[in-house]
Amino acid sequence: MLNIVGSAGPEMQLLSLSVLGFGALGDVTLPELQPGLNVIAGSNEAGKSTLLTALRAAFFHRHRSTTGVVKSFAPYNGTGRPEVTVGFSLGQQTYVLRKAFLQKAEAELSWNGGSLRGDAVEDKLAELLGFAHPKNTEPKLLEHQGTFGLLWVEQGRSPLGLDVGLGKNALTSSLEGEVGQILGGERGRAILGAAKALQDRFFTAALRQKADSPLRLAEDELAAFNDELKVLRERHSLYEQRLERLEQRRLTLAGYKKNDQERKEREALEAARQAADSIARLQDGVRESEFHASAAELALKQHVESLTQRTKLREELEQAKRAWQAASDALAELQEKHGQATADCEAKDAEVNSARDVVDKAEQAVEAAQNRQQQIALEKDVASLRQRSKDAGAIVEHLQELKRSATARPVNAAMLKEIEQAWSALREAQIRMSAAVPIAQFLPQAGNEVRDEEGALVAIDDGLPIGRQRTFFLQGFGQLLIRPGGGADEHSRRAEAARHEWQELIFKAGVASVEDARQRVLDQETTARSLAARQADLLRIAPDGIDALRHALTVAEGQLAALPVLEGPAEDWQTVQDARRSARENWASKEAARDGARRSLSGYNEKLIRAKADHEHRLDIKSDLQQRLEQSLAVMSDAELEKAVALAQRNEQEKRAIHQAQCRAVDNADPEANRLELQRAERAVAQLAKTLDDLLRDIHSLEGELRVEGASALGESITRVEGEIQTVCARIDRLRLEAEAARLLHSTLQDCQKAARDHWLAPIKSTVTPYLRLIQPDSALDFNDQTLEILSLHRGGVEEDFHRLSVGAREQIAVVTRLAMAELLVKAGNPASVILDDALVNTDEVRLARMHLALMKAAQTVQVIILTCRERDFAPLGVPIHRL
Amino acid sequence: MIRILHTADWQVGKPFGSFGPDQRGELRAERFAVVARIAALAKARGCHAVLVAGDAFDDNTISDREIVRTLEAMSGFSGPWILLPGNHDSALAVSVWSRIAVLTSQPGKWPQLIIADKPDIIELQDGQVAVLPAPLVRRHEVSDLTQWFDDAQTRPGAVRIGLAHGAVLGRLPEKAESLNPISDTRAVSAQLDYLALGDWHGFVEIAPRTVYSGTPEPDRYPANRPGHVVIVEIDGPGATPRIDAQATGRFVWKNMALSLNGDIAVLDDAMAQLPQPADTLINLALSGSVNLRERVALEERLKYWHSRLFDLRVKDDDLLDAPDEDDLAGIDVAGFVREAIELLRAKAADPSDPQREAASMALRMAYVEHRRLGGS
Repeated sequence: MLNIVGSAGPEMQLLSLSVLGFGALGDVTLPELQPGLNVIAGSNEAGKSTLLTALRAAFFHRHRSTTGVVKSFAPYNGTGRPEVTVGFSLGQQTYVLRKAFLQKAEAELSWNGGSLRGDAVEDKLAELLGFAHPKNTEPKLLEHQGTFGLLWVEQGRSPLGLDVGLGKNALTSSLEGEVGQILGGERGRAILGAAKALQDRFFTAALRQKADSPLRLAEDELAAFNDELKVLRERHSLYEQRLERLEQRRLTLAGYKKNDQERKEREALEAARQAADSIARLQDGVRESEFHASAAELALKQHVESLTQRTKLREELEQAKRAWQAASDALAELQEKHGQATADCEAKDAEVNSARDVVDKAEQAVEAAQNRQQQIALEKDVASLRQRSKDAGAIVEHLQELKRSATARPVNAAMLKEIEQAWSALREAQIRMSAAVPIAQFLPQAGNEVRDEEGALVAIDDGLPIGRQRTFFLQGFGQLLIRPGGGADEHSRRAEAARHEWQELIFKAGVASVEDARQRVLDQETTARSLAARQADLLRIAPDGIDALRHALTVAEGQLAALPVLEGPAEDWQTVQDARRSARENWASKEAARDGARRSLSGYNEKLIRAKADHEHRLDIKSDLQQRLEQSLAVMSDAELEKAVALAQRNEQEKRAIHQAQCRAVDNADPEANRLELQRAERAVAQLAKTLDDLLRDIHSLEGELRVEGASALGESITRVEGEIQTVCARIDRLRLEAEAARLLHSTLQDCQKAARDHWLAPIKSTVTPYLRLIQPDSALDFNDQTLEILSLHRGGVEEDFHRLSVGAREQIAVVTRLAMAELLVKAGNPASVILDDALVNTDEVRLARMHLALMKAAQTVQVIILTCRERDFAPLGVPIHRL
Repeated sequence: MIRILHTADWQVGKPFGSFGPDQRGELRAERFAVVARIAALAKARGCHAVLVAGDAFDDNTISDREIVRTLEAMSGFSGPWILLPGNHDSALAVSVWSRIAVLTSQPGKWPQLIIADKPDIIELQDGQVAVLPAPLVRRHEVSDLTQWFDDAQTRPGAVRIGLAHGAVLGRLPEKAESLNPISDTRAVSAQLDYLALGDWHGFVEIAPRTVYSGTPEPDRYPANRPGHVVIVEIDGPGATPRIDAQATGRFVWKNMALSLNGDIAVLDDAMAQLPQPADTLINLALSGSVNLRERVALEERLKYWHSRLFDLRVKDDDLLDAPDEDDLAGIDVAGFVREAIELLRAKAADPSDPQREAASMALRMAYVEHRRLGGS
């Protein structure tokens, strides 16, 4: 409840505080707060911090506010409304402030002689305490609570420094009362802000030109104009060049026309062509005269040739006659010699024929002797062969017989041995059976017979061994069954088996007994030896076989049969051969002689043929020459011919002279020079026509281009852009000046403000120093001249960053700085008080004792309220302790 | 008596690039308007012909549209228009003249044009008048193209009128004489009754019987009597011509220099003398020194005149800001701002300080901002 106690001491003093239903606090009343130091003690969770919150709510939160923070004021027990009552003095006036929040929110401020209620309370408080309510937000500690944001320190804030933040303007505004108008006041800050705004139009925070600064925009505009101007000038330059080119073309064309050069060249060409025609005609005359001269020359040559030919013909005819006569003589001589050779040759032929007959007879004698000799030899061979063939046939037959004998049921030694072993086994089995098998001896009555199981009669003369069970039919008796015992059956079976094996072997060997088999083996060995002997005989008589032998016999007999039948003894071979050789030699001699005669005759024959041919050829030549001479003379006589030659000579000389005259005329016309001139003139005319055509085309093209470009207001555009550039340049100059001026103004103001702050911070530092000395001897603090934050501590010549100090040191420095600032504010006439909520919890006992001194020093000027959970820490202060 | 209208230097198509789009368009359109006024004047005064002494067009590459609009503007006078190629529209191989020949070959109502693009005598009025043209077939000539006038044989009794474009030697500023020279005795040596000249944009009778008509519509600031055409009356060969300069221009281009030593009222006083501000283009050079209060006030007045005049260009390089104590008091009375202002003031007052100009403007800015923030 409201309870105002005490009297006005310092500028501002909290006199009493009463809180009801505020958060965790139920009903708390601090009725007698003192000037200077006050200690409010309470255990943890007792509500010390809530008490400070309630105090801030009373002064700085609008009572009608329903923000989240205000809602948090609601009592924890959920009943009632939060209510705070504060008694305080300000100057000579004492006030009681009461606010209730949320339900039925109320505000009342009363003082001696007046009171306010409702929203007017809020405005009055702002006016009294020098703070400003926020428009639509909750009051922030550092922005909207004036110096109390700095001086009322919640638990845990003290080590953070002053934490001035955005509240610095409130602080500086308050402090300016002490430092006068050095800071320029609100107006100075406004001008500085305006100067900064002017600078910001052009520059970034780093003082670089902004991309959207008017100067940059103007420069960009200028660059664009310059680009446009460059393009326009290039186009204009091109236009000018084309214009110049057009002028040149026109001048060139005019020059050609002025000189009438085309006509001159055409006339020169015409003259050259006429000269060329004249020369061509002259050249035709040359060719014609040359033709005539050549024709005359040819005619002359023909006549001279005819004359020469006739003389030559006559000479050849004489020669031909002489040759024909010589050939006739040679032919006659050869014909005589040929007749002689023919006779000699016929005589020689007769001698050869005679010798040939002798030889034929000698040959016949030799042939007869040869045949007889061959017949005799063949006859001997046939007889021999016949005998050998006969002997060989006998041996072959014998061999066939031996082979048949050897191959009929052969018994070799192994078979013999097997037969002998089977026989021996049979014998042994029969002996054993006969010893073991009973003998049945049938003795039937006469007429009766015994038959076995198969109905066959049983011989009754001898005993019948019974090797197995048998049944016998006894006539007149019936059946008799005999069943042998004592192994007879087994012996009998073995004997039967041995016998069966024996019989198979001898059947297989084709023998009847062992002896027979043995004899067969001996016979076979004998036959084999005979066979080998006979085969040796055969090989000796017919080494190639009997068929070859018989074939040789057949051949010999054929040869013999082919010979003529000759009888009698054979003549002496040598004699007949000698006779034949002698005859042959004689014949050969005759033939050689005859061949010589024939060769001689043949030689004469050839010579005679050639001589006849030569004779005929000479005769033909002579006749031909004679005929040609006669024909020539018939055409033209010698005199006529000589006259024609003389005439042709004169004609040829005349034609040649004409031709030479024509040639000289052509030479005088200088066709090479004319040709070159014609060529030059033609080229000149063509080139000139092309040049003029090109010029005209170029002129038309340029005129067209220039007409189009000329109508594009190019020059006008250039001038316009130049004007624009001029205008923009002027604007840029102006903007540059403005930019420089804005920067200069701002920097100058800023520099001056900094200097003023340095000057302004001096009283703060001087006020802080005595406090600081109590806890940190020989130390000093540096502050940020903009934010007023503590920057560093200078201790023992070393600068230490504030935030790197220990927590305890930071809280101590921050507290003493606040105390100093509070003192400064109070001295400047501003309302101020200090509330510290467990602000020195990290301070050791020694430093705490020093802090007590600092608190006591501050309490001399400003009210200091300490909220603590450690009552005994502050007991040494000797001040009343309020307990929650 | 022969009566002709002598004009020159229309320079139709001049781009006026240093002006804004609206002003540019209006200035360009006025070139057609003045041609129409010339045609009307020629008709009203019963002229026998209009002689255009060169530079009818600003450039040989102006658009066809501008050519046609010019020809249409000329249609108010049905008599002959003798157009001489000048240095801006010289009779090059392809030129505005060759394009006019193509354009007027199209169906349409065209003025009676005589393109004097050759140095040949042109006879008018059945030979009573012989016009001797000296066309430029190149932009620049170093020889006197009017030389041939001396020997030109004209019909006996004919009035001889020379028509040329260039600089009369010895009579114009040296800069203007460098090219296309014309002898100042040509009228005498060629026995001309009148020599109609173009190229100089102001009206001036520069030598006996030798006249520059000037441009009919001013396009520059120099005060040389632009905006005229000349009505010339000649009674006969040898008679002294009667020369009557007729104003045809609409816009007034004016150079103005004001010294504002502590008194910006002279600006309003000077401007108040202008008869037609809306058709006036002022090239203003300011000098002197003013305090910041006056400077700010001056800026506001200039802004006002910017809106009143057709165009206002201000050169204030020679106008110095001289902040006084009252300025400083007006900016702020204490604190670092005062320090800053003092520093800037010292810079602005130091001629050797490279930031002098910026400092002056910075002071103005501070002053303006101060006022904007509600200061006194």
